[in-house]
Amino acid sequence: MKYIVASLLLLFSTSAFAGNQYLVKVEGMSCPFCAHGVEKKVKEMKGVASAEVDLKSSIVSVKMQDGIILPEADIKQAIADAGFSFKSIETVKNTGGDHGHKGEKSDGQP
Amino acid sequence: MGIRAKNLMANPRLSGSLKAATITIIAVINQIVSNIASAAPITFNTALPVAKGEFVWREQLVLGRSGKDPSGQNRSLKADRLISVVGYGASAKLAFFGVLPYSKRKLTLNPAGMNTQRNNAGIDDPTVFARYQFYKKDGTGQTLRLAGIAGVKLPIMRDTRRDTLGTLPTAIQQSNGAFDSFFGAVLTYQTFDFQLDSQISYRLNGTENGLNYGNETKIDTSLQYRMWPRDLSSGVPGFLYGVLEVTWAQKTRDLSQNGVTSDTSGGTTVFLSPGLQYVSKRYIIEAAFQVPLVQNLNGPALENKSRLRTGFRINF
Repeated sequence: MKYIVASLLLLFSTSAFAGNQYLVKVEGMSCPFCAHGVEKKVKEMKGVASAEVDLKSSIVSVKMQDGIILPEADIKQAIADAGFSFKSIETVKNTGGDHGHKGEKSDGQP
Repeated sequence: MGIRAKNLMANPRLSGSLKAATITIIAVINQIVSNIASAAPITFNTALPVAKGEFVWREQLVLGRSGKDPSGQNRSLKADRLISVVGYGASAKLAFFGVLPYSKRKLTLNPAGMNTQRNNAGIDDPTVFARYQFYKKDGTGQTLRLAGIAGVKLPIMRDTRRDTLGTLPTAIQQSNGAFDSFFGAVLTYQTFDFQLDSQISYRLNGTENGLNYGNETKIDTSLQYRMWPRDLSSGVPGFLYGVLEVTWAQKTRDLSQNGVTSDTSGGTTVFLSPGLQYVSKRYIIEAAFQVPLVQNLNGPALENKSRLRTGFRINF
């Protein structure tokens, strides 16, 4: 029984402290080079735990370290430095497991 | 593994050092190839993509032969070059490139059955150029870019090498001694399925030893078509491109100091270059076969045969 409780506690604690996840839409990305260039620039950003591109959908999935929020201005700059254009950013909440749901979306307009 | 190597590995301290060194070497190689390269033309360098603060390195081996000699001297020229190109992204729009060729040339003359060979090998004049992107329009899975280019060829290598027969002909010297400059524009349109690059450039060739080398206008076009995978899967799959490039070049005649034009210089050439390019997330390998379609060369100039161009590219 105590093992089940400990496992549940561990699971909840993982969820509570897991990093925020974002889906960033990028324009101009149309080859493996482009994709990796964007991944590299995003991974260099402070607080980013991982960044993975899905080329077909032109979306970069960004996971942040615990408790760190991804500033929109910074991700825009990183994508511009890679040579591409920022389109929009969408927040995915509760990324502790595979049950995250999509949150607010910004198209980058003021 | 030899006995000496086995003994070295048997020593725990040395074995540990060797293992550490091996791991370090593998890590360095992995770091080099963990970055990627992209589709870009095989026969010209001005469209090489490079991000801000990043480096790109291209290495190409070009095996060239010229042989059809209208002069009756049975001349043939074998020119093999290893061309190193390094690019650096100073900003998302501005990039600088350096090109350093190493060449090995052999000129064979066989007039009236008297075979003579003249050889030379070494580093050729370097070229540096800058590219500034002044227009960009991105869409989902596609991009259109237009950039200006300008550069110079620096005549810093020797143009006076000699052999037992005297000073080598300019065709096999490491340099022609002239300071050349060029400028132009390059356009890139890329989608998931294909990439089109086109470049127009004008080269102002310099003067050396009283000879003003003819200027050159050049148009290069490259189509890269994704042959595999036919359907994009998730993530970032490697792409195999079929490549077809066309190079049109027209060079005016050389002009001597006293205003006399050279009858044996200048002309028009058109090359067609089919090729293949594999672009993975980590590296690129490429090869093209350059076939001369048109060679309207003035006077008894040597005509080109086909060229093989092969190499790799890595982004740091």
